[in-house]
Amino acid sequence: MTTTLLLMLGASLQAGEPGTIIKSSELKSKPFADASSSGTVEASTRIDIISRQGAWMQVKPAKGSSGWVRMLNVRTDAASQAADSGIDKLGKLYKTGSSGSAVTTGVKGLSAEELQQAHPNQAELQKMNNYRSNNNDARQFAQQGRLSNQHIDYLP
Amino acid sequence: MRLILPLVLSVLLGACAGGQRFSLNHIDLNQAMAIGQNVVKASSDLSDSEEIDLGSGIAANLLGAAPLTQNAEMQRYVNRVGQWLALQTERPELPWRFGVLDSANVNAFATPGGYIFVTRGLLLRLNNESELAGVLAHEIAHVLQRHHVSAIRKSAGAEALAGVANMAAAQRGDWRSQQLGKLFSAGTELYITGLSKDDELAADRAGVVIAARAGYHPYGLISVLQTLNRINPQDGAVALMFKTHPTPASRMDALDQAMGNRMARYETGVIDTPRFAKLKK
Repeated sequence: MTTTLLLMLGASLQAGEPGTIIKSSELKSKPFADASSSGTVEASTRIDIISRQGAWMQVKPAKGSSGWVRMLNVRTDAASQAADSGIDKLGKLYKTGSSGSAVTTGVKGLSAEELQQAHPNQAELQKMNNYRSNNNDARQFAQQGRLSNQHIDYLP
Repeated sequence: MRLILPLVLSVLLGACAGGQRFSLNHIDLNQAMAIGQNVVKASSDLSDSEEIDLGSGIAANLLGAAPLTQNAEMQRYVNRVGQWLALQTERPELPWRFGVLDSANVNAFATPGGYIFVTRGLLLRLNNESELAGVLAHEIAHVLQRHHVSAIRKSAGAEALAGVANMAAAQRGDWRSQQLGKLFSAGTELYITGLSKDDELAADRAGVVIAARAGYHPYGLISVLQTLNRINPQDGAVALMFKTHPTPASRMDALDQAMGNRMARYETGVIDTPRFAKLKK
């Protein structure tokens, strides 16, 4: 029951985010370059973003059926109000002592003013040092996550 | 810093023997630096240990603005992702430290020497481990390319950076803490004004590669930028981050251009792990 609720919540956060296609894109049946194509979406087409998978977004144009396009060919729309974003609401659930107000002029903790007035906190710095990982720990962690490293040159 | 201490002391002692009088408590900074530069190479490049000292001072200030979240499991997790990423870089030996700041602001920071911060507000908006890797790798790149050190040098001057670091090591008590405090405050200002656009775009390009080297899907950072693009710029939670960075859309444009098809073969990389979902519960 709880799991189902969480899954539904997770799905609803992703579903229906509005966006725009920024360059003509092939609409693929699956999130792979060699998947079959069901047509083309032209630049400036308004779409709803249904989900994301790696370099792909599953989108639904206002007219026509859904499919997968390259993520960099899509730009999400800025929410007209902060509260529009479901993810934002989730953030507020976690936020302790939040007034819940959607738009604020600054959020406590890391505003410009607070950075300016900050006094060094050596105790927290020490705590941060204590949480450090080490090379063996990190390698074990990578193995557990099935992460294998590879040589790749920096982009020019 | 410690290595330079004997040199600075010998300059001071030598100067005293030469008939000049020094009062360590009322030392004139400019004068001290001018003398120091005669012997101590006015190094425009900080040593690793100087860089770490500078970075830890600024990190302490950031932690003064927002403490760490009280979630040891989360802190350790972020350190493991970060350390694994750092191992794929040209500076694996730095004492990399990663922390989640207890703030609803959406932001991430790096300070010189390998201190990396991500806010709870940003972490909660991430969908998977490759997105976290993308954010941390971007911050790691700022450290690798010494963006903050260069920016402080540009605003405060090379002498202030090298000189204050050198001279401070030779001092005791209030004078030392005052001068260092000033340098650290100047350093902290950078997080309000921001780095240059070029620095941010360079960190994006390097971040994508570092994440992919570590075995993650290269689109983690891009996916985060799509999420950030969804947030209303008027939302107070993103005010500082939006003020100090190019727009998410322009960062994606630049990445698109830089990447072309170069990263396509690494799209088999890991997107998520069960441990990420467990942590966010």
